[in-house]
Amino acid sequence: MKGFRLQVLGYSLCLLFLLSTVTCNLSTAQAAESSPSVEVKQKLEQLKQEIASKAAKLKLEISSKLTNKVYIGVIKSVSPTSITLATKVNTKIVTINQDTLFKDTKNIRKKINLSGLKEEDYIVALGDIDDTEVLTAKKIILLPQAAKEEKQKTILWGKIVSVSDKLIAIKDKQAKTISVTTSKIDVKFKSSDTVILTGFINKNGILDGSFLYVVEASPSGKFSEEATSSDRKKN
Amino acid sequence: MAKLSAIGLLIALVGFAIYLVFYNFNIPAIKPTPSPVSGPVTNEPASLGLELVSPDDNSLVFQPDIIVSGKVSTQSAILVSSEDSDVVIQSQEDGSFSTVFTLSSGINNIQVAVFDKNGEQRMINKTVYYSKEKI
Repeated sequence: MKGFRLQVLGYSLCLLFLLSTVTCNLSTAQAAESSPSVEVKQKLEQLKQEIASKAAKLKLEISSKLTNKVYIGVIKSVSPTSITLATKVNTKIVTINQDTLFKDTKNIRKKINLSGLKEEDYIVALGDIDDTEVLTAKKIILLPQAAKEEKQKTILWGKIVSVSDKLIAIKDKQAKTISVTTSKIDVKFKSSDTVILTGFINKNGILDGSFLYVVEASPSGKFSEEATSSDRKKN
Repeated sequence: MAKLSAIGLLIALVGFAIYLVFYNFNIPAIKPTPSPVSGPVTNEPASLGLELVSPDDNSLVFQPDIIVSGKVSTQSAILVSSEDSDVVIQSQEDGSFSTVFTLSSGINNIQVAVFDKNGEQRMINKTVYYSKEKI
């Protein structure tokens, strides 16, 4: 009987201990929730402001990425409300509405509209895009066909291996020698200089240089006779 | 018998109390610290990188001057080139760069290129249209 009493007492103690622990945990959590300190409130307020500021910034960024855009390309199909355009990269859809303006660069005085556009015309569409990258055109500019074939400017890095009258030879990274005309370049350079050059390749396969920047000057070498400026172009 | 029960109960209580202490105070378990990596470094050296922040591709502007900015992986010379204009700028120590670039009226195909000392090249192309009149 005494043993039984002791057992009951033991289990009661255990139960009390468990109950007190749980109650203690709960009351602490409730107290923390119901009465946040001023510091916590301030932090929450600060966090709210930061989130609002970031959201506004993001909204502005997205808006700037969607407004005032341009698609340039060749017309692949025309419908009363849209144009399918083949750009350098991919195909784009341009929608037309009653506010869209049309301009023909070949004949500024001539008034054109959507019916004046046909397949293979080279155009620029100016307007805003939506999240699917469809551009609502505010203005369509018809460009001359010749503009389609405009060459890309060539950028060249290499070492000058020879300098002669209005012509230099550049050895590029692959040890290929390229001839460059220098009549438009007014920067002083000499053989063995490492340079960056830009220009357009002419029909003879020679680069008509329009810009030269000396990346690394050679300590010795023959100076160009055509150079008119003693200072290297920095910017 | 009763004595044994009481001892058993006491052990259970003590065990439970220890569990509660660890659970409530969230005492972190001791984790073995990773040993430092030994042997040769096998990571490749940082390659030539170019990131352009502005301008956006296919953007329409109504001012001739735009900002060309971005970041390169190593301090180097950056070429900004369009059909009618070229400029070379030096990046900052952290690799960032920024310059004002003047556009021509109409389509401007802007090429931004960076070269390392061996002539390795990275290039990004952007198209910007400068309209003199607002639409």
